[in-house]
Amino acid sequence: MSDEAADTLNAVRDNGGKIVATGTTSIRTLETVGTKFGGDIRPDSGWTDIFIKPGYQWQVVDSFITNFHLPKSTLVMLVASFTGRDNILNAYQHAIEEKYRFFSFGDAMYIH
Amino acid sequence: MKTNYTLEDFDYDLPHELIAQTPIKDRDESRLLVLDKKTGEMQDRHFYNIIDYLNPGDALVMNDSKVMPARIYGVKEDTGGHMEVLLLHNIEGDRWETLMKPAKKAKVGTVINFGDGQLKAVVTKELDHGGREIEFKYDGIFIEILERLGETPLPPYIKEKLDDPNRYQTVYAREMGSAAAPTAGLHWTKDLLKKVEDKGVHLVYLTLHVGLGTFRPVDEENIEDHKMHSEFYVCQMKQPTR
Repeated sequence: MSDEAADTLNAVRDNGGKIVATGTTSIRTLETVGTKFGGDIRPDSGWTDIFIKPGYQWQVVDSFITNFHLPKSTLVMLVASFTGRDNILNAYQHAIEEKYRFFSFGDAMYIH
Repeated sequence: MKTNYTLEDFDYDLPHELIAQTPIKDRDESRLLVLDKKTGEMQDRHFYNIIDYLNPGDALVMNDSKVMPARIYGVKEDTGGHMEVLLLHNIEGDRWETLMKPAKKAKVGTVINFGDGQLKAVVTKELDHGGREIEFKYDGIFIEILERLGETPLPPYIKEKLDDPNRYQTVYAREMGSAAAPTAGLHWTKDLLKKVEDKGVHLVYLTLHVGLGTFRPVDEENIEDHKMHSEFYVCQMKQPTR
């Protein structure tokens, strides 16, 4: 069963589909595995302390859903490493002007 | 791309009233700000519009970790004094790393009684960060006892009480072990996931238990110096839908 799902993700990539992660925890897991196996996705488990920040080379995730994160948090840095710092800070400014709701019970972003 | 950033580069001013204190009624009625990372272009949508951005043959990955009711209140067996225990992580078997209040009353050997003896714990070690290692004693299944006696801690910036504890769990939460919810997943409903799957998108589940360290602020001025806390992940990817 686990192999089947890892196979699915690899097949999705081979066929030109995209891998869409729900949340930074899914991102960090997929990128931990991708980094460990040279870009491949394999069934795996363990501890991760991956810190995704600007300069990081993304291995697996093509687009993602995420909420708005705290100022100066590692999660803002993670998102910035995908979008570029200016794009994400502009987006947060837009969200503030449009009165989006922030953090755990707040609204979401889809970044592609 | 510039890589040598400082903490100030990731700061922004957030009006306090924009911090959501309670969840909205319908999960997928949240708003969705869509950002194109190449152009910086934005669109204001709602979460249920997410399906427009998913195509047949894509994979949607979700974290099925379930938030633990990690805060339990007990009394010291010898004095009857109150003690609050926050479970941080399961070391092995019935041994847990915890934070206790009041910590100075929790010496090695102290026995704490929860729920009229349904659960007991003995303090086995004082930890460097001020926490305590404890060992639980009970009859039955630990998780079931914890679900009866514990309550779910909310993040520190949420001051209002949560009426429906299920609203701080994703609809697909299954593997108990997180100290905080994987919050992006809170927007998904079973109906919307069904529609996404019917469109030909593969649904894939993995598990990463969110640690309390997720709330630890970055203190280092040069972000390169920041060390992440460790979290346990299982990338066994149970694909079939439930």
